[in-house]
Amino acid sequence: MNIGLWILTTVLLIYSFIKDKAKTFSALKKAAKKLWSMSYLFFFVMAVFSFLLVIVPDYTFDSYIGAGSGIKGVIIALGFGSLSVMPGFVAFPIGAALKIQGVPLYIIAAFTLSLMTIGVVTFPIEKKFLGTRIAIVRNILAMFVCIITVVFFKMVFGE
Amino acid sequence: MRGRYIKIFFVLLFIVFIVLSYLIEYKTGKDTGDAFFHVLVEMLKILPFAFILIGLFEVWIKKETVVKHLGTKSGMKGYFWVLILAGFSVGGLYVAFPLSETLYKKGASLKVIFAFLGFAGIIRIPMTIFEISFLGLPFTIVRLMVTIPLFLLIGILLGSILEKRGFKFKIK
Repeated sequence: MNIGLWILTTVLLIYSFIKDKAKTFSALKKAAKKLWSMSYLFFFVMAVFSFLLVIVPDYTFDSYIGAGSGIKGVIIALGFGSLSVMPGFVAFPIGAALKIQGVPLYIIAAFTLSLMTIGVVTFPIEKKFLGTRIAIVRNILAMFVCIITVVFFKMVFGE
Repeated sequence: MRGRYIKIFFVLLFIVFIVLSYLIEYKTGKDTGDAFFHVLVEMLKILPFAFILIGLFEVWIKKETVVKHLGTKSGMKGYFWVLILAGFSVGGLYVAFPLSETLYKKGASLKVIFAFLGFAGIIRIPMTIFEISFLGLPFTIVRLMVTIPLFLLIGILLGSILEKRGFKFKIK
């Protein structure tokens, strides 16, 4: 999986370099700047995550969002995703770490999707633009989309 | 400034905790260190590449070009363009709301606007690059294939119901 990413990046980088050196350097500069500006966030997430991984017993973890957690795991993941506000830059590494821990993809999808499409904490902002009723309707519809997608994930990828 | 000191303090605290744990053979600390190292290696295999891709994307493809074409919002074309526009948006949904207000002011239909609000959550390109890097291409493909049609449908349904009811966007 990583090899594809490495090859794609290298090929595009070389192509970009041949086409326009200055643009390529400014792209690399942007990349480095972004990575640096987020490095603390990554460090923090990794530190907290690895600590939690050690102190939370395996069976607790497994019974809440592990392979055997089923619908309970989906509900927890949906709830957690709806309630939290974090950039994808943090959510996807967490998702990858959960995958390594053996958490099924459909539960990871429940978390990342609800995070992206449902906003409980950001509701006041949404309300300002759409009005309370429509904002509620939009979030409920988004929840339906999350649930349907989770079902698809379960069918395609299984446990 | 103070936030910076807190950050440095936390990083040092964590490093000291891990190093001490190895020195005094404290199991929880050692395991945390091992797990941290493992995750760090995995991240380093992905992060630089994902960010370079995002950098290339930002340099080579301009958002302005997309916005310029949004004048054509007739029929299916409108949905196509807001799909692209959503791909170019940054930040979370809280950025999409002000943008949808702009679309509304420029005369986009409510159907197109609500489709945009749905798309904005799911297909931002930098985020998608990141998702593919960490969770794999099959994950992203399944997610997009299911969510895009659903949010398109929601946009059309919600938009046409609200148009019938004479819904007005709240403009500050």
